Amino acid sequence: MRVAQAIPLFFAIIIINFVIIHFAPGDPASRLAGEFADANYLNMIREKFGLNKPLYEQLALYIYNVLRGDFGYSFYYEQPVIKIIESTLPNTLLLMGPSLLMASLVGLFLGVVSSRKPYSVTDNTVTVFSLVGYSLPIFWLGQVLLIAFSLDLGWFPSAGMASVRVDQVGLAYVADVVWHLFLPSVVLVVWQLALLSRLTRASMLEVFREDYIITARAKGLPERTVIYKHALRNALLAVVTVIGVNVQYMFAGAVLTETVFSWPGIGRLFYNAIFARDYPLLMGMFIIISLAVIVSNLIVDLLYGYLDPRIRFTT
Amino acid sequence: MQLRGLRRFARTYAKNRNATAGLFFVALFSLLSILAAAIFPGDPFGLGGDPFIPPSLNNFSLMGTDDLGRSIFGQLLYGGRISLVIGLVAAASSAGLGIAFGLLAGYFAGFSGEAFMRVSEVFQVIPRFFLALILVAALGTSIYNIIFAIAITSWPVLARIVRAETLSLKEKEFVEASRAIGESDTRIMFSEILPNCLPPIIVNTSLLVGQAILTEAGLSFLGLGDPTKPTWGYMLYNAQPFLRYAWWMAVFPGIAITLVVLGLNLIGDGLNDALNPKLRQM
Repeated sequence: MRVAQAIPLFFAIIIINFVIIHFAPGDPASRLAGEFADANYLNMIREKFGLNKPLYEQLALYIYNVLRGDFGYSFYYEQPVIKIIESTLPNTLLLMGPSLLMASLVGLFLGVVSSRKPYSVTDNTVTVFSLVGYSLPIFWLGQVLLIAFSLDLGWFPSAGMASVRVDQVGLAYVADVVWHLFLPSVVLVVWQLALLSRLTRASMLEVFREDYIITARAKGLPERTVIYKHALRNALLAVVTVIGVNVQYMFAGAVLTETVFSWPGIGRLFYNAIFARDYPLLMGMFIIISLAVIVSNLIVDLLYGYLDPRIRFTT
Repeated sequence: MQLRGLRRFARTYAKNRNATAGLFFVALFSLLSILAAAIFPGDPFGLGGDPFIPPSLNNFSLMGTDDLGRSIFGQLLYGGRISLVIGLVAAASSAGLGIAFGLLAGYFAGFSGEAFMRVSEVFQVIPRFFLALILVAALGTSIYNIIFAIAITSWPVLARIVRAETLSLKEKEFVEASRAIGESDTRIMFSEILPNCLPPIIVNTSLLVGQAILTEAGLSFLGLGDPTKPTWGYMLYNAQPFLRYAWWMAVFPGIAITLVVLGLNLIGDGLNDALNPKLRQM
């Protein structure tokens, strides 16, 4: 069922790409080839995508090529687009994964703590923190942390993913990567924490008003059991949904943060591709990110069904 | 009656300290950008002083100077104008699109309503920031294209809200009554239904302004800002290569963005509380 909804979505995204290539001012061929392609390559592209054929045939050819994983050739990197993305995307996921996990755990904890005593000092602190965190440009937070902890105090490296001059192996290499990973991860964690703690608090407060919580409390169950076994389980549902909806913003946040810290992920690809007007690379990354968002929404839907027995048993 | 409602609204709003603080931040920066020419005479993008002067107590280098010896303070005042205008115009256009689509889809349910839902589903899943990014990259980095890209990627949220409100409002007696006396669909939509879904529209639009400012800053930071009209985000883009030598190039524009967006979010929350009748009764 869910999969059947995801497939047309993916096609819709390919079609949007096609529309931008063909209806933005300028030559579609240069948008398929990149601004610095030579005349020979441009002719080859015209042939390959049938640019002198009717529009519907062009669309069919475009979809066919995308589905084969052929996103074209990047003149800036002198490599096929799919190869570049394949070798870079894992670095971005390395940045996104652990920080999302961290932000979810801490966010849930902070949200629960502040929901237990609304409008207390703790709750107000968490609220102010999350309001500010939600309002600041994520890359600026990165710049400020970089100035303070890397350039000024010298505690952390200022760029890259590993030290260049030393050849490290095994655990030393892992430690070096973690050391480079620290500041950009903090940026992403703080940013996501703002949203997740606020949301957990709101959904916990809502759950507290439900009859079954009042019953559990009236039965004399310890407060801990009520909160962690009964209430949190339901509040989790809302949080899981929000994580699903926010995957796309996490990608955006990661791309911007990577640019600040020269992290060798898709953020740097975007920056260079924009600079070189390398359209095949830009469009390729757009399709891949969209695909990742669709897939993670699918996973969230399945997870939701697992967490909520009402859904599990009706479908 | 109208006046009393307005006064009650103002009272509820003013009681909310956060919302008042939000209004203060936004008003402060709006004033600074309106009075930019009076506070900082001369061309903020003309070359004036030595490069990399740290913040010092005079009008020109109050926030230091950049790599070309231009005043950060001056750029901040004039850049604020453009950031705020982009935020306002993009949010207004987005709200216009959202209201139009939402009203139509809600009022004429059935096939067009269904089709609308499918389209807005696509827009919900599609990575908005990246769609805006490739739109600006393909269309060119002018301020109009940036506004267009932000508006076209942010209308669906409001459209869904307006559609839901319209669906429930059109079953109400007062709408039935105007239909019975033969009023046209257009008139019913605009003078009966629309005024009644204004509260969520107002709240959402104030949040949209802040989001639009942040999106523009993000696009600028990746090199997709309008170089002829530098915004706060563009200043941060300029600051990135010089973080080691001139922290002030990054710190001040970022504070400005944060305070304005925080202000707009606080205003949105405050409006939500003041306009939401359910909360008022509690």
